Parts: sequence; C-alpha cells; structure tokens
Amino acid sequence: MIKYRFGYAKYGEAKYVSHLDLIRLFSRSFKRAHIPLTYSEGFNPHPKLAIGLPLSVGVTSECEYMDAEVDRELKKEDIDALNKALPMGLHINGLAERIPGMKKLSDIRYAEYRVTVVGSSVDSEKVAAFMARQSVMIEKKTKRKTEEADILPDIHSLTVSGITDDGVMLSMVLSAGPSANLKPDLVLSAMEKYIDGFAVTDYDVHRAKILSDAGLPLL
Amino acid sequence: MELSKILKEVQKPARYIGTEYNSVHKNLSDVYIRFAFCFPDVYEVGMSHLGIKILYHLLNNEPDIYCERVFAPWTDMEEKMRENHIPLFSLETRTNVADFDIVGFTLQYEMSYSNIINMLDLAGIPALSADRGEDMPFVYAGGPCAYNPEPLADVMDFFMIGESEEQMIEVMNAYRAWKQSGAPKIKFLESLLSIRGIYVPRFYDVTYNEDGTICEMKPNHPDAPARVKKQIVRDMDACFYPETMIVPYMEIIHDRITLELFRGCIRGCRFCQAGMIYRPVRTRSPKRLLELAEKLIDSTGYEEISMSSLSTSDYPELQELTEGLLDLTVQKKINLSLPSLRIDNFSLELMQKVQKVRKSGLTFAPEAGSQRLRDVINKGVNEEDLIRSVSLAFAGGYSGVKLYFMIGLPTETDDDVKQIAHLAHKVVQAYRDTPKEQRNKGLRVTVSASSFVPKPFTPFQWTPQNDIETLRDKQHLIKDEIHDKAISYNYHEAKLSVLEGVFARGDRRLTKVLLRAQKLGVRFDAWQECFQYDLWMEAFKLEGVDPDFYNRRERNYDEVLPWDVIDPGVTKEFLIRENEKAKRGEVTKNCRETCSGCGIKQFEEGDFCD
Repeated sequence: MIKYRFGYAKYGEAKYVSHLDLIRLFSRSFKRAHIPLTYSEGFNPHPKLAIGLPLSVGVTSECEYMDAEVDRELKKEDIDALNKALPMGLHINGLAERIPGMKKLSDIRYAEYRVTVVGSSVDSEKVAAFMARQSVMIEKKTKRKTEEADILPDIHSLTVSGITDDGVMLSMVLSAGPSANLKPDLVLSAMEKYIDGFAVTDYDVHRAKILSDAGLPLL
Repeated sequence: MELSKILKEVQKPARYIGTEYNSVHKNLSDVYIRFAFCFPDVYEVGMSHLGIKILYHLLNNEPDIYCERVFAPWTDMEEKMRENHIPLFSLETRTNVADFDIVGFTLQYEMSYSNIINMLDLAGIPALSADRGEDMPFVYAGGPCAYNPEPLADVMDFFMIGESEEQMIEVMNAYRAWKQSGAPKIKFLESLLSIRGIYVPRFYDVTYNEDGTICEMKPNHPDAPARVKKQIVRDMDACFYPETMIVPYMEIIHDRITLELFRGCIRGCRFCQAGMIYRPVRTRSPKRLLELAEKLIDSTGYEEISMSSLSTSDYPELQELTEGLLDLTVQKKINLSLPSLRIDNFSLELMQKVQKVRKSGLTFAPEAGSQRLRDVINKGVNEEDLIRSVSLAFAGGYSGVKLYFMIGLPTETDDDVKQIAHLAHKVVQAYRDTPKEQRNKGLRVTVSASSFVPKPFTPFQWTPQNDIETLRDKQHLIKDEIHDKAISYNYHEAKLSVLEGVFARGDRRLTKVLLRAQKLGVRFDAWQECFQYDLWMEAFKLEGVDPDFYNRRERNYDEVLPWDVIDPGVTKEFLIRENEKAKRGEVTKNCRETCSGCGIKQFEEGDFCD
C-alpha cells in the first residue's frame, strides 16, 4: 500500500459535479483505469480516498488535491490511463508519493480565487477602501443558524486584476480549510453591501491556488 | 445562451450537463440522422431505465446516426427555461429538440403523459401530429404503455410496438431512404407500414356507438394492417446488448450495472400486464451474461451489478449464473445486488454469501390477503409457503420483512381486505415462534398496499376499477385491523391510481384532456409533491369527457377495445378464458408445468417458448 497525493483540475461542465458525487466519480475512474485503490477493512469496505478542500458547485479549479492509497506503485502510464478514464472536465495534473513531513490536507489554510463579475465594475480605490474598513459584517449561514459575522479577518487580500467590457476581474485570497473557510460568494455580497453602485447579477469563480499554513502549495 | 447562468441557480445541475463518462459525442458533420431519445421524467429516473441504455448505444453504433438524450427538466429548471426563452435541449450537444430528425418518447407509465405534452411545448413542437408541418421532426413513442397507444394517438406520428432492438434498424433504414428521396413526410409514414410492429394512428378511422363505445376502428390506407403485430427478439444471446453504460455524475435511482437475464414470465398473474405482453419467455445464457458482466464492469467502473427480469427465481440456470457472478464480483471487488428471490434454502444461502452484513429487508409480494383472492389473481403463493419462507428468513437472521399487496382486486370483499392485516400478524407470529437464539432483534413488518389498476391485455381488462371512496375505505379497513407496533403500514394515493386507470384503458378522445391539463399546469403527476388532481378534474370537465366511462364500467367481451388494433400474441380467447377462471377462483399452472394455450406459440413461427 502506497500513499499518494494527486493534483487535479476541474473545469468546463464538470464544475457542476458536487463534492459528494466527485468521490464516487474518482473511485469509479480508478476502477476503469485498473488502478487498485486500497480499501478499508470491515463489513462495508470503501476506498481510502480524501479530497482536500470541497469546491462549490459551479466553481472551476486548476489546483485541487486528493489523497488516495493504492495497492501498488504508480507509473506515468497509470496517470495517462486515469486521465483517459476520467470524464470531460477532470484532469490529473500532479502526483507525488506522500512522505513523512509532507503537509497534510488538514494543513490547508488559504485559497486564491479569480472571480469574474459580469456586467458590473468597481475600481481599485473603492476596493482598497473596502479592505481598509474596521469590519465587514455580513449574514453568514452555518448549519444551525444565520448570524451576522465579521468576515474581514478571513479576507487576506482583495484586488482588481482587470477590467474589460464584460465586467471586472477580482483576485482574492481567503481563509480556507478546516478551521476557517470563506467563500467568494460571501465576499461579493459584502462588496455589494458596502460599495455603492456595485451590483452582482452573474459571475464566474475559479480557484487558482490552495495554500498550506506555510503559504505554499501542497504538491 | 443563458444556460450557464441558470445552471448555477437550479437544484442538481448535474441533471442537465450531458458529458458523463461513456456518453457519446460525435462530429455533427459525420451525422445524417439526429435522434432525440426523450424520457418523460427527471434525469435520475430516466437514466435508471434499461431501455434507454440499450437503444442509446444501439443507435450510436451506427456511424451516421447520433442519438442524444432528453429528460423532463425539473420544475425549477422549467421555470428558468421559460423565463429565459430557452427551448428544450438535448444533453449531449444542447441542440433544440425541434431541430432533430426524429423525436422518440418511451412510455413507461401512464402518469408521465402530461410530461410528454409539456416537453413538446417546451421544445416549441406542436403537440398534435396534424399540426406539425414539413419542417418539424417526426415524433413517435414506444415502450410498454404503447400497447394501448390510443390516448396519444393524435400526438404521435407513429408507435413502435414491442421490442425494438431489431425493428429500430429497419425504421432507421426507411428514414435514411426517405430523407435521401426528399419526399413529403407522409411518404415516410407510408414506408413504415411494411415494417412489423409499426402503428401509424392517422391511417385508422374510429367510429363510435351512441353509448360512446367504439363501433369500429378501420384502416383508411390500403397498406395499413388491420392489427399491428408486436415485434419481438427471438435470440437473446444474438440480440444487441450494450457493453458499456453511461455513468452519471449524480446518484440515480438504480445506480448500478443492470444485467437483463430474460424476457417474459412463466407465471401468468392475471393482473400483470408485463407478464402477458412480454411473452414468450426467452433467456440469455449464463455464458453470454457473464461475458457481458465482465465487459460492463470494466467499462463503467460501477461498484455494483444487479440482475433484472420479471421473476429472477425462474431463471433456469440461476445457480450457475450466480456462482459465476459471485466469482467475478469478488475478483473485481464489486457488489452483487440480488433482486427479490423466492425464499428457499438455495436463495438464503446465496444471500448469505452476497450480503455479508445487511440483513435488513426481505420483500414478499403475496398481492392479496386471502387464499381465495390469490387464486382469483392466479398468484401462485399460499400462506403456508409464505410463513415457511419468512420463518426461514427469521431463523437466518433477517428481521425486516416487506409485504406488498393490492387492494381493489376483482371480486374483493371486506374480508379479503382485512386478511391483509391478518397475514401481517401471522408473519409477526412466525417471528415470535422462531427461537430467540436464532432470530435477530428489531422485527419490522412493512405492509404496503397499492391500488389495483386494470390494464389492457390482461384477463382483467374488462373489469371496472374501484372508485376513490371505495379504495380509501379499504385502506382504512387494513389500518383498523393492525394491532401490532412491529407492523408499519403505507398505501398509495387513490386519486393517482384512478387517473392512471383512466389513461391505461383510454382512447383517442383523451388526447384533448391531456392537452388541456398541461395548459392548466399539470406535470410530474407521479411525484406526490407535484400531483394536482383538481386540475385534472377541471380538464375533464372543460373538455366534456367523463373519466368514469373509462374505468368504472364493466365492459362486455364483444365491445371493441381501443387497443384491439394491437396484437401482442396472447389471444382474446385466452384472456376471456382466464377471466372466467378468475371468477370461479380457479388457478392456471405456470408455463413450465402446462401450456395454457395463450396464443404466443401460434404467433411466431417455430416453437420457441423457453
């Protein structure tokens, strides 16, 4: 049994595949590629497979991580076979054996997003003023209740990276992972609330990086 | 298109994306015939259906044909599509359904008919065949409900009756020839008349008697057959079966590989339409099934495989097959899921091997509470067998039993109905009689009572259906007779069963009701949260059609029935004989014991009942 970390991208129509469905999709794809995943013991064996940071439905990414245990050593051909066995819009783009000292998926702390807001615009000064606020209060839904919360501590950077005829492109680094997690949607809602004239109707979100507590990629 | 924006706003967008593994993507410039296979229900229901898996791959094996899938958008998606003027589209290429050459619907249950009308409306295709011009696709239907095509006669350009694996290729050849000829649409329909199993409703005239019954249904075209013979596959091993299946992103109802063991049924239950229309019994060999299983496991990566048929215990080589499948699934590290089997030592041992831990539910279908009524419906189960089976199961560690019954069966009395509850109590007693050290804790007996719907081509096709009040009284009668906490009881919405009864035995005059009901807003009738009975009743009233005419009347044997135009192989004489035996409470032996002379042997040349 060998522990591996896979890097993968999720794009195109595959962005509509939910996190739960993705685990099943990967385990079937490994079967199709004849890569023997290691199964747990017990009455209801399941493959030992974990996805680093759930990706919201509708969001694309180039930097996802998945840890899996495999019964044998993997070669480059296996990755080719796996990529053939994956549906359109999913692609393995990295592989490493997990060795002691390597960051765990639970060490994920930050994620960088590129957000394209269609049909609206905002300039850098307004964004800077937004970031310079004492607090950014917004209704945040948790499993149990909805409450006002200050999300500013979880916005580590927010900049305008481009303005086109279609709209504005934003770049943001947000808290991510098991201890604190902020979604770009909520940042957009907060910007609508605090920035005059900024209204969001349609937008696309892309995850560009997932970073550990050391501020580095995990692969 | 606004689609990408909409997909972010609807529930379960994976229903609409169509890039699943093993879905087929072709270069459109290589394609001559574009075929939209429409399932009139939501994705996860439609994708579970075996017929779509077979026909999708069969059609796409033809290089110049491209078959794409279309499902009914769920209500939230429909709302967004209408708001944004997005017409109904195919999953693979997102092409408007109106731009296809052929649009085919599969008719799996009557209560999906309103979705067909709604899908045509969403596609911008006129619902009535007569209103569709030369620029519109051909719209046809097949599947079990097509055995009574009449409620949709004015909607469909044609119907394919029976099993279409072989017929489909003939129809496509006729279409190719017609398209090359550039002739008007009517010429294609005429060319179909030489293909067995094709029913073209416009080539038949219907006249009515004063009492509203049909006087005559007569061909108005010299080539149209007086009766349309169903099409069947003769050799199941030689017949096409897909070696790959689409693997959906989202979880569907039957999310596993389906292996079809055989068609037809030897049992002859008198209420069961499938048992009559799918005759004769034809089996696939274990060798072929195991070969298919291995290919399907490798090509899909599915973690489970199941066996499908009308009565798996009747598969002649069940032991050989299950042993082979067990070996294969162990080797491939996947699960074998067993259908409900007749409980005996063999099947219990098999379940032991297959299900290592889950000993929850076993399912039994006595269908009726009393022996008298079980004899009437020819359900070859007696109380002794049932109690022996459940006792075996309890001793084997099973603690959950589901019992399926029907209410509203012909000749049924209050006493028959009460005996449903009594039988459930006897099952509870069988558990208590099982030694404590053998049985598991937590007994659960679930009694499920559905309402009987008389179906065409069954011995009960002449029988009136119970009305809503009677069915409700019977539902409560059972409830009042249950006095044990271990028994839970559920029953179906009687209104839905009654409406299903109307369309099951309906005629051409129902089409206008269907169209009206769709305009009033009915859809997804089979979904409890969507079913709007009052709108249906309004539609009947507005169109001046009395639903009772279709399901509350005792029909005479000499009445012309709307579905007489179809020949399913079993003869009317046989059905009358069976209905008379039912009245006398006489049983008919299964086909392997004695041939009951149903007519299927004379239907096809050569004796090929298995």
